[in-house]
Amino acid sequence: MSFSNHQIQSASLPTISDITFEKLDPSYRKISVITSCIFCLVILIVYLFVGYFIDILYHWPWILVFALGWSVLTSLIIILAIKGYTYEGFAIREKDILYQSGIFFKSVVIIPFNRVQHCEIEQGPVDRMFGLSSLSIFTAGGSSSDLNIPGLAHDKANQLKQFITNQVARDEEE
Amino acid sequence: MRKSDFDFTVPNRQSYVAILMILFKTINIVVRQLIPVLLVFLVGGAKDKGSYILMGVIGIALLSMIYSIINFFKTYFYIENNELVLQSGVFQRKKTSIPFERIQSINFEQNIIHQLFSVLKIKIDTAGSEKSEFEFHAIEEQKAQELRDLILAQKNQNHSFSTSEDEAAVNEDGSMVFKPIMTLGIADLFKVGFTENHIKSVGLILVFFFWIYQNLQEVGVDVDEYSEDIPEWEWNGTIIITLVALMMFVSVFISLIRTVVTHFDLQFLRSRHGFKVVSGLFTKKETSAADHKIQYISWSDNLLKRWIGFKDLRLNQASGAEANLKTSIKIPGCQDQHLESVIHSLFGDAQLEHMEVHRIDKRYFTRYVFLLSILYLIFAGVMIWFELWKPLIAGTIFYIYLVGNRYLSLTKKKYGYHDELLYVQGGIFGDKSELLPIFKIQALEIYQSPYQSKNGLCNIIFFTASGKIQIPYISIHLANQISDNFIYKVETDHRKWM
Repeated sequence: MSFSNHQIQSASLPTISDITFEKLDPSYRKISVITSCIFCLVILIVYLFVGYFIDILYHWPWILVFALGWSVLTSLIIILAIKGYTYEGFAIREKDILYQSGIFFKSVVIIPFNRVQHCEIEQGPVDRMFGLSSLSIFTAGGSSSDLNIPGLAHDKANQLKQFITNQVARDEEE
Repeated sequence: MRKSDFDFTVPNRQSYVAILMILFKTINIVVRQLIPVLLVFLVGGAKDKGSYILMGVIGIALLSMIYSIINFFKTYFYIENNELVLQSGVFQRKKTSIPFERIQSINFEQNIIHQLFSVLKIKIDTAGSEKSEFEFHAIEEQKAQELRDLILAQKNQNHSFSTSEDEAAVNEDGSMVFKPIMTLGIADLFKVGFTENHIKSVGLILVFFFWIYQNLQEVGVDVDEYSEDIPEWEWNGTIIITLVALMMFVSVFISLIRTVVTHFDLQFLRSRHGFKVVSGLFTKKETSAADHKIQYISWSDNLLKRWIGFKDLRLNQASGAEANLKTSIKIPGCQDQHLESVIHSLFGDAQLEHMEVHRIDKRYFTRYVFLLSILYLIFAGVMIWFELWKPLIAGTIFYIYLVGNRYLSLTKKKYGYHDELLYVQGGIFGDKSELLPIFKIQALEIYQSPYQSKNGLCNIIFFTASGKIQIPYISIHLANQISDNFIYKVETDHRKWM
C-alpha cells in the first residue's frame, strides 16, 4: 500500500453549505396531515373511552378544558405537519447522503456511504394509499444517527436503495 | 509449536466444575428473586403469601437447574478444519461453528470457585454474527490456555500475509507476548478508592434502601407503620452533622470496597495489536481490546484525582458486527506517562501539544443563564406569593449552583483537531477529554435550536460505533467547514473502522 498524504486546500472541498435539498413527494404532506389527524382522533377516542368509566370527565369544567386543549393541540399538530414538509429534504452526493429536517429545531445529518451498514424500505398502510415509502439507512453509530427518509415514491425509494447499495459495494471493493 | 497435551479434535466436555457453576448461578438468581420475600419473613408479616411465592420460585429454579445439568452433558466442543465447533441442545441438536478468523478475542474470567478448582470461564468474542459471544462456564486452566494459544496461533498462520487483524503476538512456543503498561499496587488501589466520586456511592446507597422499601411495600408490609416506632428526633445541628459525616464515611468505605474488589491487582498490558486488562479480587477478570476495535479513548479526573495525578482511562470499543453492543474498558489510576504510552501505541506520534485548541461561544453560558433565570423568577415569584421561605432559599442555592456549573463547563469546553484526530475537552469540576480518530466517525449531525439559528450558532455531533461526541455552540460557518473536512476524510480513508 503506497502511502500518500496530500494537502487539501480547505476551500476546494465540496461544501454542504451550497447544497440544494430535494423536496419529498408532494403527497407526503397529505400523509403527514392524515397521520396527525389519526393521532388526534385517537387521543379523543381515548378520552371518551376513559370518560365512559370516570363520569367526572364528561362534566364541566373538565370537558371544557379538554375541548380547548384538544383543539389547540390538533390545530398545532396539523399546522406543523403542513409546514414541516417545506423544511424536510434530502440530498445525494457521490459519496454520501444528507437529510435535513425540523421547523424550529433544525438538523442536518450526513452519512457517508462507506459507513452504511444496510438500508430498508418500509411502507405503512397510509403510505400504501399514496404509493409512497420511506427509506431507512442504518449505520453502526447507534439509533440516533440512523436516517429515515419518509415520503418517497415507491420506485424512487427502490432506486435510491439500489444506488446506495451499489455505492456501498463499490466502496468495499476498493 | 509446543505439543498439545489435549486432543481438541475429539468432542470435549467442559470441566465437571461447570455443574457447580450452574448450580451456583441458579441459586444466586433464586436468592436475588427471593430477597423481598425473605425480608418479609425476617420482619415477620404476610407468611401465607410468602410461602406460595417461595414454592413457586423454588419449583421453577429446580426445573431450570435440571435442564441446565442435562444441557451440560449434551454440550461438546471440538476443533475441525480451523473452526471451533460447539454442539449443544437438550431436545434439539444444535451445532455452531466459529471459523478462527472470525474470533476477535478470547477472554478468561475466574471467580473464587473457579480459582479453587483451577478452572477458567471462557468468553469468545466474534465478529460478523448476530450473537457475538460464546461462553464456557468452566474449563481446566491448562486446557483453556492451550485452546486459546492453539486458536490464536492458527489464526496468525492463516493471516500471516494479511492485515493486522491478529489480536496478539504469539511466541514460537505458542504463548503470547505482553508488555506491561502499568499495574496498580495496593496503595494505588486505596488512592483510587478514596478519590472516587463519593456522591455516586451515596446515590447507590439511597437507591438500595429505596429498592428494599419498595419491595417491602409490594409484598404488603406497611413500612410507614414501623417508622412510627422510631422516636421523634430533634433535628438540631449536631445530628445533621453526625448524619452527614456518617454518610460520608459509609460512602468512602463503599467506594473503597468497590474499587478493591473490581480492580484488585490490576494489570494493564499491551500486546502487539491490542490491550489487555486483568483485575479482580474474587473474580479475576480478563478483558482485551484489539486496536482496530477501539473507536475512541477518553480520560477523566475529578478534583481529588487531579491532586494526586490520577486519571480514569476508558477504551471505548465497538463489538460485534452490528456494533450496537457497546463495550468500554475502564482503567483507573492512570498517570500522564501511561496515557501518553497508550496514545502513542494507538495513534503513533499524535502531536497533541501542537494541536490548536479553540473555545466554544460564550452564549453557551449566557443563553442557559437567561432561560434558567426566567424559570427561577417564576419559581421565586410563586414562592414569595405564598410566603414559602425555605423552598425559596433552597431554590436560590440550587439556581446559583446550576449557574456556577454552567460557567465552569464553559471555561472547560475546548476542542481541536488535526489531520488524524479530534480532541474534545469538557467537564465541570474535573476534566474529561475525548480523543477520536476522524476516520472512525460513522455519521455527523449539525443541530440548531431556534436561538442558535438566529445567531449563526449550532451544535455539531459526531456519531461513532461506541457513542457520540458533541461540540456545542460553535459558529455554523465553522461547523460547516469542520463537517466538510471530516466527511472528506471519512470518505477518502480506506482503513477499516473495525
